[in-house]
Amino acid sequence: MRAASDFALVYRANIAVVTAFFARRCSDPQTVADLTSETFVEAAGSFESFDARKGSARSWLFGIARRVYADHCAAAATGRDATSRLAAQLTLDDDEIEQLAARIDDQRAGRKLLQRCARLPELDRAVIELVDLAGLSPKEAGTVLQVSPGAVRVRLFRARARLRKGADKP
Amino acid sequence: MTNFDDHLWSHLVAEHHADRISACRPAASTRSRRPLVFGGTAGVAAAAAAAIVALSASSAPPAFAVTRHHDGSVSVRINRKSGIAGANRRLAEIGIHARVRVATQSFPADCAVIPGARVNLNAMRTDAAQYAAEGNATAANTLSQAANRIQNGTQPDVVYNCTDTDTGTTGAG
Repeated sequence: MRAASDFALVYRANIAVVTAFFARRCSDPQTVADLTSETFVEAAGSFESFDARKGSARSWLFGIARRVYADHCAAAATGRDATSRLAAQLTLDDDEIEQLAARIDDQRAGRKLLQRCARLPELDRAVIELVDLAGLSPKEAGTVLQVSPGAVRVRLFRARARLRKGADKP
Repeated sequence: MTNFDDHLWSHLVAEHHADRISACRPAASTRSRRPLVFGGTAGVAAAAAAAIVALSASSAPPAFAVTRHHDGSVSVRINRKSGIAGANRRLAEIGIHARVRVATQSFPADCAVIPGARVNLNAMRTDAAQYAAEGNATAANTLSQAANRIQNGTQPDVVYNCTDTDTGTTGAG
């Protein structure tokens, strides 16, 4: 048996968190599958240029996932049909749809938290999600968002405080 | 029980050789170069290789065949030029935007995807970026323009590459 390639390891270590990232945003299993697939297809295409010295594979993947999701929203907003995504589309069987539906369900709490974050500045919201929901370190989140780890910690502290305050209100 | 994670991984391996990718290889030459415009889809080489076939006068096969596979992909087989119209009608009926047409000067076959290939715009763009990085601006432009035309619907994503005197059979499983 051959040793797993670097990319295989990155895939196995991150498929769950990337799927969860989209499961917090979309309630349709096929959409979650398509966006997850597109993220890894893009990642496979550019993995050779990935430089571990500039950040972890996880932060690199989340950078791609955020862009894929932004493109998806832009396409949906302009009514453009996502034909470019057909290439990445998987035909899901019932088991997989059920499995993805369960993962979407698992992200209920995360989705609620994101909704509560809706009034926070974009960067604060992103920091909360990447650190508190996706489990990235402040340093990794800083790489994804292109801010310093210190700035991530400040945002995190402030955003958590505001969320706690909000939770106290009736 | 089918597992989504495994399914996506098999897709990545089949279409993008994900099991053979490693980061920061010393030389770019270790990367297998995919043929221009074919979008890096598996099975394309086979489709291209099968593209030349001799005309058989005796037992003529049907002029065209459009087959939908269980994985959702569709392959098109053209045995005679007269089959193009029928194949296009069939593609329209089953809701596929791709159309077969004969390559022309303004629509060269080297800027086209061979019938039977599954178009992969992401792979095309990745390849375009790779060409650009290598300083091959012509190839990069051809590839990214082809991808844009396919995406905008101004180029059908299946082009039948033959001249008036040729016949050809193409297809991918």
